[in-house]
Amino acid sequence: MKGTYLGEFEELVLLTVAVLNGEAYGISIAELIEQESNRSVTISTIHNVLYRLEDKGYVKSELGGATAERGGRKKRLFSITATGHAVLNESKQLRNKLWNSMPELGF
Amino acid sequence: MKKHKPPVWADMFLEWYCSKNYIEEVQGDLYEWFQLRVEKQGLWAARLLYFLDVIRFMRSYRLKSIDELSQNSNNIAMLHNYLMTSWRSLTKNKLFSIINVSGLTVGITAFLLLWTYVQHEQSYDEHLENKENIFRIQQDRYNLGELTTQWAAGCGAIGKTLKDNFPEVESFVIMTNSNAVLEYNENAFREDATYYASEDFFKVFSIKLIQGDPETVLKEPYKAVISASAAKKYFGEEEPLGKMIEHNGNKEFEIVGVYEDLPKKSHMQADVLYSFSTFVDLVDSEVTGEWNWDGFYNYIVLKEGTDYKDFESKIPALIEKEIGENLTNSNSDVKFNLQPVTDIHLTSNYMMEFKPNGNAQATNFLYIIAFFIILIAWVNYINLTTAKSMERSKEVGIRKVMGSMRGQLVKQFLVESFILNLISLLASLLFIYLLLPYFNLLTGREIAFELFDSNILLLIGGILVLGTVLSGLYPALVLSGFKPVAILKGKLKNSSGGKTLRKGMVVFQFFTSLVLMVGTTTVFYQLNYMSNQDLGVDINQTLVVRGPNVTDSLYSDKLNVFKHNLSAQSEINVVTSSTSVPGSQPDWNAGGIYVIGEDPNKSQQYRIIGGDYEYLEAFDIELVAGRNFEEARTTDPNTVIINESSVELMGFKSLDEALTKEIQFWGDTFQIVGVVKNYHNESLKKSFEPLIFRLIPNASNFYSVKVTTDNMPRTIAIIEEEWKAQFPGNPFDFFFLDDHYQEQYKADQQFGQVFGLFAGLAIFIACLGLFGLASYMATQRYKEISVRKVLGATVGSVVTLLSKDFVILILIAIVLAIPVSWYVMDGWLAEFAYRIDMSWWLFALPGITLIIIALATVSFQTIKVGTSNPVDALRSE
Repeated sequence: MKGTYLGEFEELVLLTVAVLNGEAYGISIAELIEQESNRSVTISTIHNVLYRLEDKGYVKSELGGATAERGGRKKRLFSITATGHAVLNESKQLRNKLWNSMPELGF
Repeated sequence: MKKHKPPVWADMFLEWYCSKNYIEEVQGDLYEWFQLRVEKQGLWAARLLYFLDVIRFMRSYRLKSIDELSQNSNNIAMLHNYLMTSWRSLTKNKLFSIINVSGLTVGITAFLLLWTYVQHEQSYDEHLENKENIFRIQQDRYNLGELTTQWAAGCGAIGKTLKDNFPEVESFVIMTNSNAVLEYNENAFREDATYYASEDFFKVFSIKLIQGDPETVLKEPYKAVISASAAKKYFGEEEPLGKMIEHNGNKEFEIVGVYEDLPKKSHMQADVLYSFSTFVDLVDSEVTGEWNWDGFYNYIVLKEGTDYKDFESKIPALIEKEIGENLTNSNSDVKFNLQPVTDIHLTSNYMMEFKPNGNAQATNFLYIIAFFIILIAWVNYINLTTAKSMERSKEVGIRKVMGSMRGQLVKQFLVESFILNLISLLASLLFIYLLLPYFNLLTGREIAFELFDSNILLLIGGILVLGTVLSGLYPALVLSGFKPVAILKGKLKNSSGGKTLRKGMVVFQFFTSLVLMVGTTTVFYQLNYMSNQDLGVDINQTLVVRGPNVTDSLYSDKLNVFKHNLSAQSEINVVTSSTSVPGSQPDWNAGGIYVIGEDPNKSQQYRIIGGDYEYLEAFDIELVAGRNFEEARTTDPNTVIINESSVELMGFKSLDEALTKEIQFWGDTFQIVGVVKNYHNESLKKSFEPLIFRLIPNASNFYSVKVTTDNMPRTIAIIEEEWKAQFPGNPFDFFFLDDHYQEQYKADQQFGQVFGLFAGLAIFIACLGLFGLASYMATQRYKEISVRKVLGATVGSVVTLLSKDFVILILIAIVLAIPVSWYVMDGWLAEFAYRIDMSWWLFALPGITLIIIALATVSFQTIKVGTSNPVDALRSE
């Protein structure tokens, strides 16, 4: 598994990118995370994580979609790559496997 | 929806730092985020958070790169280019760069070390809060109109009298030394730096009391205040307050306060302070009324704004009023001078200083040396760079052809100079940290180099800027001034003006080096002269034990047993007890002594040494007339022996006449029974002082043991055992007399070493420069030499030809240096009563050494050129 390690927040961002399906950029990701997980995020952290994911080859990006409230600046739109998807999947499998092997604890 | 704008400043900052690769998405997202926040959290919060976000986005990978910056600013692009070309040229000429950097590094290191030393010396007692208004009263005594003694610690009366008579005096402190062995719980130490001090001490000197009330601690008798480190020494972790400490085995002091150790940078040193009222009780006299009893440090505090010189001039009238009659009757006089407390360390060197003070003259010398050394280093840079300019003239020519402006070329060379200076400065800082401990060892000080002190930062910045401009500007102007056509056609010749300047600078460097060398030689010859002089007194193989403080009524008997038992040992020749030993000024200074039958008003001051019957014999002091004290004669306690200086001072025509006279000494009459030859009781800085020897068989200050032994540790053990048997409760402290005597020259030795070290550095830098210059000259004249060789010149004649120029320069430097160094060193020698003369070889020796060093340096290059094959140089014409 070496080299495919995903941090907790990285995984969250990567999932969000996949959910947003082509509409993922800094703000939309931040909003979705805030909305779903109820935690406050800073925009620069999201950006840093996105670049890191891009370096690892889990997401790819393109520029596009300037709007008025952006002062005419373009967005960097991120979408998940096949590798990214595989990593997410792998992580999910691992979790499922562990969940399944958990004894009934009766909480 | 009304559209709000994010803060303009934050936005500008973002655009300023952010690389174009990221600005789109970052700024876009931030704008959008901002709009969302305005809705959710309000305008102000959104603005503030926007600013924070801008800062959060500042990551190194988002910053503009150098390339990106240079697209916008021509200056930055050029700077980039300058840095690059400078680096290339520095790495291309490695030897040359190393010479340059090491010269500058040595220069800056030496300068900064000396600078911090001088600053250290000049900042004594700066910690005192009221330092501008605290003065010590220094006392000069005159007899028959002549200055006889100068005291750091004067008479007891002066401080209080000034306070009582002048409203300008706010308060005064009187202090006097206590010779003490202190004991607590079997823990006994001899303490040299303990003082009785009057109650205002802690008000006048801002020394922090950790425990105790500054108003009252020194008020009542038999109370003491102890320094933090002394408290630790005696009481360890125990609470010091309320403890009783035993003083010389016959009285006790209660500890009522603890103070922070006095700073090292203070003229004063005091480990324990006792209340002055104790002293008054012990001597049964209000000391503050004593005009003839010296040995008291008097400090006064003047009201803010009082002119102290003005105040000083009012003192003589008061003295006249108080004791004028007495003074006139005894034909004596006394003058008082105010010493600003911050000046004491560098300017005061009188009887009974707290500790050896600094020397203003030596400090100034070192200050001047510091500036000369850094100048030499800069001159080196100028010299080497301009000399090297020929090699870079093609580069300059091409640059000019390509359209370089002169200003740009100047900038380029200044950038190079800056880089070199910066590298050297950083290397110096490293060296200073490495060398400081050794430098401290050499100077005997504890100097700290605080890089982040604002003065030091300013100085370092100054060195960098000044160094860059001073050393870089001239070469920059010369190099950039070349005419491109001339350079490229190969017709360039260095201007004769440039040559003269370069030669002038070489002369300057060697002039300075030589002055320093002559200085070093003189200092060492003088020190050597002093230690090789026949002192007239035998101080070798002498172990001196400091006498006991804690004694009882049987002391005299015990001393006799001690002497007797030790003398019985085969390796011990003789034991003598005395009030003082050679190598320091006798503590006992007596005035009012006159010859019976003469006018009592013509009394004089003498230094008194009290000793037993063996004193003269033990120290091998030669009797020139009369006899020594003899145990068989019961009247001998009323006799004295004097030295030749005293014979002169008492006005006797012959030695035999002296033996017929009696003197009046503090109310008693003494017959002169012997005269000893003058000997150097103190350092050779002083002339022979008038001495009187009195018979005091049980003197308890020093026991000198003359030994002949090849096993010193065993002998010491024997002495210590006997000491413990006879004087229990007293610490066994001893020193070797020859070391003690040499201690007097310590400051001069340190001065000589520091002087020598920096002279060496100056020569090193100068030789680096010479080396560079020689290599340049050799390349310049390569073709000329080759032609000469083709026409039959020998290697020897070529080397001579090339070296001749340098020898002439050094000879000029020598001729200039002789009068300057003669003047300076003659001034230094004037401090010594017994001194060498400035003879020719003091100049010849350094001069010849310098020529040899210089020739050796130059010959590396000249021999290389001289032995090269002329074909190599000539075939490519």
